[in-house]
Amino acid sequence: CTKEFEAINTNPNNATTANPAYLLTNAERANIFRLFDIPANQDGGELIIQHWAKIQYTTEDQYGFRATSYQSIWDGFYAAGLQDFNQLIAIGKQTNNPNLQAVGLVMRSYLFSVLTDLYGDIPYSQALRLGENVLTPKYDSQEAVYTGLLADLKSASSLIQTTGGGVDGDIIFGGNMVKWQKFANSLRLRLAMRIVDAKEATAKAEIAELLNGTTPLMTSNADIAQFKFLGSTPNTNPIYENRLTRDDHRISRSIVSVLRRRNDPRLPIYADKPTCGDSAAFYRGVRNGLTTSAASALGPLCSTSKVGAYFLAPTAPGVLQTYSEVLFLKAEAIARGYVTGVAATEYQNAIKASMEQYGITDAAAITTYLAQPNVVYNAANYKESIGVQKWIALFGQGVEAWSEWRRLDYPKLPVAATPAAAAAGKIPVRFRYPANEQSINTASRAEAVARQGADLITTKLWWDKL
Amino acid sequence: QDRAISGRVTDRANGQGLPGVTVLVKGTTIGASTNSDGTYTLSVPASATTLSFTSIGYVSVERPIGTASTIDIGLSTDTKTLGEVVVTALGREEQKKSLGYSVQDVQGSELTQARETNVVNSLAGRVAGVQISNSTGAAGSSSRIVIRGAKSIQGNNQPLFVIDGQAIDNSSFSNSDSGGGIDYGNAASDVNPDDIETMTVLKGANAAALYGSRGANGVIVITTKSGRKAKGLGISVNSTTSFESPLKVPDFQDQYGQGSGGVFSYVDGNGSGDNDNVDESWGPKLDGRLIPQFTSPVVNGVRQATPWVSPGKDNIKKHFFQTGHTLTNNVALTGGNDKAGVRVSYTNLDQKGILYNTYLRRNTVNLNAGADITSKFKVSTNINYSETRGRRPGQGYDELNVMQQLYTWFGRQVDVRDLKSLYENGGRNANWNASYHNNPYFVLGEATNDDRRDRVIGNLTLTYALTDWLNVTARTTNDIYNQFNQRRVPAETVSNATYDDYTEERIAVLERNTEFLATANRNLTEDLNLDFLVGVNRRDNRVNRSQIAAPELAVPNLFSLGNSATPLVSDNNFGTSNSNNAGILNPVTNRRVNSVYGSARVGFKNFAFVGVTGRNDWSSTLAAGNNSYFYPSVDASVVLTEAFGIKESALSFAKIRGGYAEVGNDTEPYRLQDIYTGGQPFGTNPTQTVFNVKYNPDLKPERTQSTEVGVELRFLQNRIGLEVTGYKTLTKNQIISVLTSATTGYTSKILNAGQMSNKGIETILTLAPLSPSSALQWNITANFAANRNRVDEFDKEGQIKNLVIGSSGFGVNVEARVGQRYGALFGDGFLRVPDGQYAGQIVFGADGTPLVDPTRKVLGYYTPDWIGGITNRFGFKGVEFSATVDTRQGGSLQSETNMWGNYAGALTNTLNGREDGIIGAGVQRNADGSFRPNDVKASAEDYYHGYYYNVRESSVYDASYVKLREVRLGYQLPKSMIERTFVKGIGVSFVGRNLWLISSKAPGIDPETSFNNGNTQGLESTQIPSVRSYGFNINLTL
Repeated sequence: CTKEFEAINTNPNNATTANPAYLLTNAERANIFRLFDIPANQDGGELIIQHWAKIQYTTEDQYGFRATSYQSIWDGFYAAGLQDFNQLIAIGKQTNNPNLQAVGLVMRSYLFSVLTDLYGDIPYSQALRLGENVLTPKYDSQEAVYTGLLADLKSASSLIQTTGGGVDGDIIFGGNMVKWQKFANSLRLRLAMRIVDAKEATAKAEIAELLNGTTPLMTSNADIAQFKFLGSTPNTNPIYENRLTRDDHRISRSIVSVLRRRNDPRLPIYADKPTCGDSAAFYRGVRNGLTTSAASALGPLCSTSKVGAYFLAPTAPGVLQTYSEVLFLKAEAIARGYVTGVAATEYQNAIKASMEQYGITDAAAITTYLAQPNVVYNAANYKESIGVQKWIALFGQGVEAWSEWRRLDYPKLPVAATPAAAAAGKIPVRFRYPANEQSINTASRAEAVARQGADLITTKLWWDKL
Repeated sequence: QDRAISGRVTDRANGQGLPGVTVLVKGTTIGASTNSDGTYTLSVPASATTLSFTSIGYVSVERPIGTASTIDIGLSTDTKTLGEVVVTALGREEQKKSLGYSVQDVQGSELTQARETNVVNSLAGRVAGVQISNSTGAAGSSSRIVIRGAKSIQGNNQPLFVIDGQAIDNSSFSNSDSGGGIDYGNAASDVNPDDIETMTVLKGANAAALYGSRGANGVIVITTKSGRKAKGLGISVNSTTSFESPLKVPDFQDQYGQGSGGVFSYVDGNGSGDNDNVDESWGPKLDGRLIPQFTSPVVNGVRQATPWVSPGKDNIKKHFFQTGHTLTNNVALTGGNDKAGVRVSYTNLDQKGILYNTYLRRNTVNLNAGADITSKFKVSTNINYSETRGRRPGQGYDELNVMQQLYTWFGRQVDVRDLKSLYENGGRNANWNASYHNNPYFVLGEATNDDRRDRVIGNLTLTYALTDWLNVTARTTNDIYNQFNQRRVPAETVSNATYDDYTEERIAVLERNTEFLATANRNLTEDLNLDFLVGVNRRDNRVNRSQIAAPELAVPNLFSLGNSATPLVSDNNFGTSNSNNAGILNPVTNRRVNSVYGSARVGFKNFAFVGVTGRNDWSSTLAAGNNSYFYPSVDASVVLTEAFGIKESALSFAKIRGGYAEVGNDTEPYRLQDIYTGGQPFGTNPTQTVFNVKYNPDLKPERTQSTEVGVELRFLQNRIGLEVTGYKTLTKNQIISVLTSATTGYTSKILNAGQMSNKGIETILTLAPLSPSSALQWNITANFAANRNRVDEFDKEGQIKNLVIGSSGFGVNVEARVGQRYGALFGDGFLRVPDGQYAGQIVFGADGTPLVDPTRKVLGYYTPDWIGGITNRFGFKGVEFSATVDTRQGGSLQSETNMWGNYAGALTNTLNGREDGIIGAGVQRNADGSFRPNDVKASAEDYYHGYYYNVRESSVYDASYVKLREVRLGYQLPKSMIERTFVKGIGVSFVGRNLWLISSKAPGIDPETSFNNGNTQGLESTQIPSVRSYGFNINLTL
């Protein structure tokens, strides 16, 4: 009497096998959306790094980050991001498709690097292994995570076959494997430089190998790794989606004053002028970390500068890595003496690439800009020159801008006007682990906290030695 | 030689003839039953010496025959003593004394007079160990019923509902949670109280083994009224009118209006004025000063300043809530004779909610018919059709729940009457705050949620008597309904950007049982009776759901899928979802369970009984090899007073009983194989993702083991009764979806190892303080139940210590934690001084607001320590008065009304320190790590922001309450007054329910609340207030 049971219990609703192209499209879309969504970027990196500020619901701008925010970053990247890319790597192996494997490895490495840069020690080697009944993955030290990521990116680059077919369903490079290979190596350059203060020998060797002139890296703005959102929901840019119902964010006074002092042509792109009030003729940035009442004392909403329309468009790209960043990394590698070259030239090219990225192509204007004393490369304090300009160029990429500020310690930023007690009067240097880890991965988290230091937003990460 | 004896059996209480009384010659099987007028005729052998008269519900009587040829007799009703009959599994009537487990009855008349639109609520306070929680006061909202505590960590904890032997669906398709949604009620609320004869609560798994898995949480057995006992044509009419108002509304302040830092001035409500889009009440004092407001006139383009005054403390209570109104009319026709009976009833329910433009309407037609086709062949059927239509308010913490705005994010100078007149005069969504809020009348008037459910519950039963002691029965039962939900979100609502949004949801549910039974009842010897049953059953369940949305409509204000400007979105797809449309994982579910079962009960001399049951199920939801499972039960009872011949003593009745039962259980369909879910396409690229639940191919059946023992005692001619039951349940191999750390790659995994145990005690005490012969009757029924529950484990390896059952939108989890009580509320607590002279005090930060303990903690448990109720009934010459008080003691809840109401300065509590600031009670940490009393003053605005935003502990309250649940005053016209008319009975009663929250520790809210009837309880999320109802009932019998 049970012979029909198998038919009755066959799932009529959902697929039990995957199409890798469909998986890849969704994994790219969902995770890049997540990277630029409220918790990690708009109320995270962009506020901490003082590209943006808040004039309503200012708690996050005062470093009062919500427990639910950490949770959604963590859950989203692990369960909905890494898991899918991991699956793609596995499918790539099974179907003998090295390019698919490589794309999975690059994107998985990217997301792991975001997670470790936000939290420090994270589950890595034991992560994503529920199939083997690992219910409570141990946390790896950040050093171990970086070691793994650098190796993965190296093998990704070597797996790539630029002749023959690409991968299907790829929205970032349209399956162009030459670009994927450049991105793999450029990302590895970023991660190698990140650990330079904590593990210099490794960093130096990796960087030297990457900049040996034969390893493919991004060579123009056409190589930028970015995700182009579409004009209609649900495929629009998350900043656009936020602005449909909210109007809490403004340009930070910190970046407005830095750009204005340099007559930076990117200012009109990064910010809009107020549409009412006394300062309608000027860019009026907002001090970070105001209380609700201090923010409301600024006057009507229209009297302060919004983030520029470029970033609010539904199709505004989600940028993973730019050519400009690669040039900044190259400049720094030269400045540190890891490779030969002229640091000032790479530095200037980096700024130029950033401007061109926003359509600023007036060569004379750029030359004038570069000649200003507060822009000219200062070899005696390369960290400040590169730190400030990289901070400007990384506008909109909140997480990466925050990481590089923590590493280079430039520009010098003021602490939020009224910081939350948890920040102990300092700019946060990490996020707290999400609340549910305390409930459901208790012992592993406790071990990480014991190793890394208290689970506070003031505890420095392993690579943040200086 | 035989001789004829005849006579008439009457009801002693009213002298009317009693039909259906069994008249037997003692010691033989010779007998007859009385006709519809109570008369009988019997041919008795010469050797006969005694006649016995027995009838369900009456005290049996024996009479010596002597030489009489006529024996008339009056029987007295017996609801307490030996003959009490209850309906148990499969619709069988059994003597209560023979049962080895606890059952408790509620009469239908109690349900119709003290009417609740959701019949589940009527059980509150009446039955020991049964906890009812009505989620909110919205018309047609769902209720949760749990008997003897939660047994399943994650699955259904509510009992099975059975009507006339037919299991019916009690699903809740509500999507309301902490973040919003709609409560569509629980499906058992379709049952019409007017058609109920009795409700019997079978509390333990013992009582329910024969119903299969779903009986593990207890069974509510409903017997509907039939025409069987009618004499000729009968007509009854029942009409109830009641009025509803909010039971408890928060205590709002009326001293300060909208704004921040004491500053406010309105320009456009969108940030152009001073704080004119701040949705908090930290603004200027409401002292009549002149300030431009949203109601102020605009002259030459300039908004004038008008007096800044409070519309009154009770503005919302008095003017926003409307008086709800429920009108229920029922007419029933009965007709029958001793061979057949029919009852047809029609009921119309029309309820207007306490919120503007909300309602629930229901029409029910019930047909109950039965006939003896021949002396051996009987047929009976019960068919119920109901049509329910609702227009329901949004729930939870969401802009479409108007309470979110009115209770918390509100300008206290705003007069809701102005909002109403704005909306009603064509202002659409115009209101006091254009940035974040809707006009609440616009939300209720235009963002409507309409639903309609058409349901047919029907069964057909054929019974054939093979011999006088063996019957065979074939039965088919069907419960079929279709629900159609429509949700409209107009473009003007603040979160909806530019377009009208429309969603349609269709749900089709079917449960079908096909059953064959053989039942036997036979005296094996004079002293030994056997009651025996075997059966087979096939159960099919099908649920089809689809949800289609048009997120962008072309023509404004035309809510139709055909009017979509963009491709329709099927929310059967997971992935990116749009507003308020949760995805449906399994639009189509099919399940089949085949069963074979049997039971036997042996009675010895009618005072000792032993029953056994056994059942084997085969479920389609488990893999071959794991899908067959057997479960047994055994129970026994001894009536000590009869066994030892105790008579004429203070002890009138004593019985001990005990039982053990196991119940096996399957799982949901499609949990054996991993899946990939599809999402909305990216342009022309389809999308897929690994589903975030890890399924399990090796699932084995769950198992609940339950033991209970009890004693029933009655003293002084039954004037004192005491029933005590102790029980233990252990549910193991629970199939649970454990929340896993997302670092595993999945957010949950289906495990098969959860274990939870319950133990508890229930007592029922009945008292009749006055002599039965006095004109004034007084009966007291009190019940008490305490349940202790413990989560034992989640997985065999012990890796998982905690499981998140649900959570609030603001960081409070409802958890099951190993070694603890079920339903822990887990979240951020205050940082407190660990030891020393300030031990336990709250540590304040440099800004004068409390610090958060970085280690989250258990802030309370939602499960109560004990529940109880007491009912007093007085009767005097046809007048009956009764009052029920019930209580829940212990347990906690977290309240977002209080959290945000304090944060936003809406509540009276926030008047403290408005002018001078607040130094919070606690300590400051010195640089050297020591502490000093807190000396940092914060403004009231900053203080309440910090106190309620940082720490969830600040809004956790003891959920204990004492409620005056019901008061009823009824009058039945004496027979003498209507004897000569065509009317057979007239009664009138006045009824109030939920009248008074006598004591409660949670400020401003009814602690008996939740956003749905699932396992995530203990969270209050700006809920629609529960209602007090009062009204009257008239019944007329013709």
